[in-house]
Amino acid sequence: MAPPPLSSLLPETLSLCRRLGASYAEVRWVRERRERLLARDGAPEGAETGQEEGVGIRVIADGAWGFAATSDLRGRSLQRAARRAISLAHAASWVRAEPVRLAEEEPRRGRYETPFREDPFGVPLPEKLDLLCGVTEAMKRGRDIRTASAHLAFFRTEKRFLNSEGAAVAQAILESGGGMECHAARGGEIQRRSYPAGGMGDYATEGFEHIRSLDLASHAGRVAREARELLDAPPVPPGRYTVILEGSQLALQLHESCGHAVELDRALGDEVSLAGASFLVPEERGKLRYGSPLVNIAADATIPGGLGSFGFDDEGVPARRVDLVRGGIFTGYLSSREAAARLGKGERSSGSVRAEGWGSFPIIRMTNVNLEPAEATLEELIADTPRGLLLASNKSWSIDDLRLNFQFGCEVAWLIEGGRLAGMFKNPIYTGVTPKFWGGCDAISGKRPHSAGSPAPSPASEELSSRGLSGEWRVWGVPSCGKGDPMQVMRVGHGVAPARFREVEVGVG
Amino acid sequence: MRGGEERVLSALSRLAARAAGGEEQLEVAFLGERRSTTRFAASRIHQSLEVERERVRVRALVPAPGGGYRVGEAEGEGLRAEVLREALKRAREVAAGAPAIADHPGLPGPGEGDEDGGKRAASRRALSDAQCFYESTLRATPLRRAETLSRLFRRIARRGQSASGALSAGAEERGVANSRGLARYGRATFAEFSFVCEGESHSVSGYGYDAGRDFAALDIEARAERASERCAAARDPREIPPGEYTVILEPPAVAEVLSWLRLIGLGGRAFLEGRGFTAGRLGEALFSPAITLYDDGHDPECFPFPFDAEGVSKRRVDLIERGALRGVVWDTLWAARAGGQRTTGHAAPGGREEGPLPSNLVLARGEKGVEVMVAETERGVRVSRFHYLNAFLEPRRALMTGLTRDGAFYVEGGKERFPLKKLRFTQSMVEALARVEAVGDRPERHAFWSGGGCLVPALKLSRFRLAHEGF
Repeated sequence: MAPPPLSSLLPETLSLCRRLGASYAEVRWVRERRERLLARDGAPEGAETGQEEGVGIRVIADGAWGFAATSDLRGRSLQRAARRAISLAHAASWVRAEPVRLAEEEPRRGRYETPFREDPFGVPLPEKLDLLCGVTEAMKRGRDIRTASAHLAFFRTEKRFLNSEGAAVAQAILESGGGMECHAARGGEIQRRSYPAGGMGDYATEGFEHIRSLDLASHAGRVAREARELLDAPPVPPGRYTVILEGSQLALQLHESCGHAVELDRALGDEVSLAGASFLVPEERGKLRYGSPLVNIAADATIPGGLGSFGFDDEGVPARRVDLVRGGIFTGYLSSREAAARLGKGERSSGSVRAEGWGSFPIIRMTNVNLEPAEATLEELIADTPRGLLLASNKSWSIDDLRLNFQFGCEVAWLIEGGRLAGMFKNPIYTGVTPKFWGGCDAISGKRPHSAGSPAPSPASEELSSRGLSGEWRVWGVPSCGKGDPMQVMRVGHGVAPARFREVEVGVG
Repeated sequence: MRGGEERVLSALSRLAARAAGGEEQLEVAFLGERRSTTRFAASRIHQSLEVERERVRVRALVPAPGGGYRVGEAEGEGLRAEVLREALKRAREVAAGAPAIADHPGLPGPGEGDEDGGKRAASRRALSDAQCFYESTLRATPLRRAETLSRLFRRIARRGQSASGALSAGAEERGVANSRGLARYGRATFAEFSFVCEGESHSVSGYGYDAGRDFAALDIEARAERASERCAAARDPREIPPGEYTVILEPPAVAEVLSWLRLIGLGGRAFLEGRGFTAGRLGEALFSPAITLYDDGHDPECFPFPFDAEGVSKRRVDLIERGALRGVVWDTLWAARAGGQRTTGHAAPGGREEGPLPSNLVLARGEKGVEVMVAETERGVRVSRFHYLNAFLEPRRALMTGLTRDGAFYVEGGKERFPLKKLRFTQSMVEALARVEAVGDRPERHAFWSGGGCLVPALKLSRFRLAHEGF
């Protein structure tokens, strides 16, 4: 006899939770299909495909959360998981301060599907592997190149969410991404150069058209050449510089110093033990100067293509846009229904709750945390900088447990002299303290593609393009944001265009 | 857990035996796990969760005409026959569409990697099962964990403190079978306790941690008490000038450093590709003679497990012997690429990107207690724990950055004088570990969040660069 379909099992499980005493219950079914392809030095290194499927059940009973999940989708297994969730909540209620309350949210019913043009799972495997083998072979041909590697990854995630308040949503989210890197070595030294975004690659909620838009093949020669050039480049002389951050590095800067800092669970102390808390405490909302008046940051899960875009979060809350920093003032949080309720009456969730998979407890995650663009172009930022550095492609990241003191390492720094790129430095490291750093932001590009009065790319713009640099505002997809215990890895987005910062400490004193 | 040795191995071996003619090779791996976590913040339980899952992974290797293999992998959920069949079908489809990995040596056979060709494998398995699997861990129910935490919270509340952290217990079973006749099964339990004790603010805190296979052996009470004492001592932190200091790194700080060293140089891939701090330095005196470091998956004091993701017995590997680099760890593929090497049983599950990695690091203990180290320090800093390390700056030098956390203390004239505000360091660990003044006598276990763990004592290092950076 065929097992009962999910369409009946999930509501039955929800009803069982209520009968067992849950004051609130939700059931989340997830099926994720993925494909990951790797190549190294012109040959494939791995090709794997996988699917996982399971159900996570979260309840409030005796005023506390309980969560149980299983990959066994038979009815009796789901019933057992429901009972476990209830007993886990009872155990938690032994040691709780206040009963869990949820901010009001109208129960939604609906469906969302990522718009895409080309299904990556439908692209023949040989075509995808040929692309990777080709770009790694091209990079490996470069002089002094020790290794070259590239990857592609695709995810199709189907979800159904039901809660005891009547919400019932279904989603199908498609994500595609990839990247490449090479290491040049000579003597005892080794240097990495990558494209499009450090070692992690760049991802989007799009189909294979995202991979085609990256145009990996046309960057392979440049990446290999720049890796070799880094071997001969001098290290950055330590000092205070005017710094322009290229898009992918600025995305990570935003991620660490703003995205995590505005997570309300962190600000309320729920993440202290692992990654820490936040200096952006609720009493500072609406008052604290986070950055210069140019700095406007919002979280927006509705933008097409953003890696943090979806129809509904994992509490069934519809995708939303919320201001985080407006005119340089800290104004808002990424939140959940529970955290919003703790913040105060009338607060509502920002729709930012996600779980890594069916087996993970849903927590507050970044969606697309974006720095809004401003009028300048990248050519203008450089031309307007008598002396400074342009830093690109992340290599290392570290920030303290209140999201204040950070240090980033990049693959490359270009010296700016007299408003022009004048030379290359290796091993750049910069440090700062979050509000002071963002307070020094005096120019942001991205609103215009070209300089004022110029309808087409200028020679300076074409030179930047030949180095893989662009002044456009675009959403970078970070595929490996870690948070929680047990650790959950999430895919999130950051819309940015290159921006300039004054008085930045570069090098290690 | 619903598996069991007979059920798991019969399912895996049946599928592995379906290898087609023409020398196709098949590997089928199984992971069944159940993990239960009680997470707390500000002395209240805010996440109480339990996950049960079964995963199967099939690897198909089809011989390529020019040598090597076309390789495809597929994963599925559960041990049901239809899941296994579907995974096999997809793995074969992927292999058929993939160009050859020309230097792939194929799958390991039974006993491969064993110094005695596998003759001792049976007794080793039996020994490891007793040391890996503890009923006490299975009995650590959510209610029992809540009761334990409730007691700790009441105790620290009397000092005006609260705590955040997690107390977890779980079990897993792993099986691997392949078409060359290899068939391995093992099971293990896992327990972990982390405890950040906070005073009047997030900046006044202490840390306690323990982990291991046996929940009953966790030193929960003492580690929580230590966190509380350290927290009490951390009030009113001050600054010191940036510069080079003697540092006394307590075991949690040393474990953080090792968790990064394993990634950037102690595995065969980083070594062979020239990216890691070990590349080209075999036999060289890399660290101080006080440092001896090895990986031993059978060490009952660490996180023992008998075999790796390919089903090969984990071999003890001497990595650093009295400061000299003796070796790195290998899996089948990277050992073949190195030439003259054989697998040491360190294949990681799905680990092609990092290659083989150490999973049970043991830093040999010394003879000094931490308090003696402090008493013998004229001017230095005692560090409880590091936060947010990153070692990707310059892996050839093992240049790392990070911050102190949950208590750093200034030491002068052999005594702790005052607590310190957070300090950032950016330091080559190759250079730092060449300046070891003392090794602790009481090692502690730490699990790596990325898998495996270590057993490490405290270390006293001289001329370690520290700076306050603009707080």
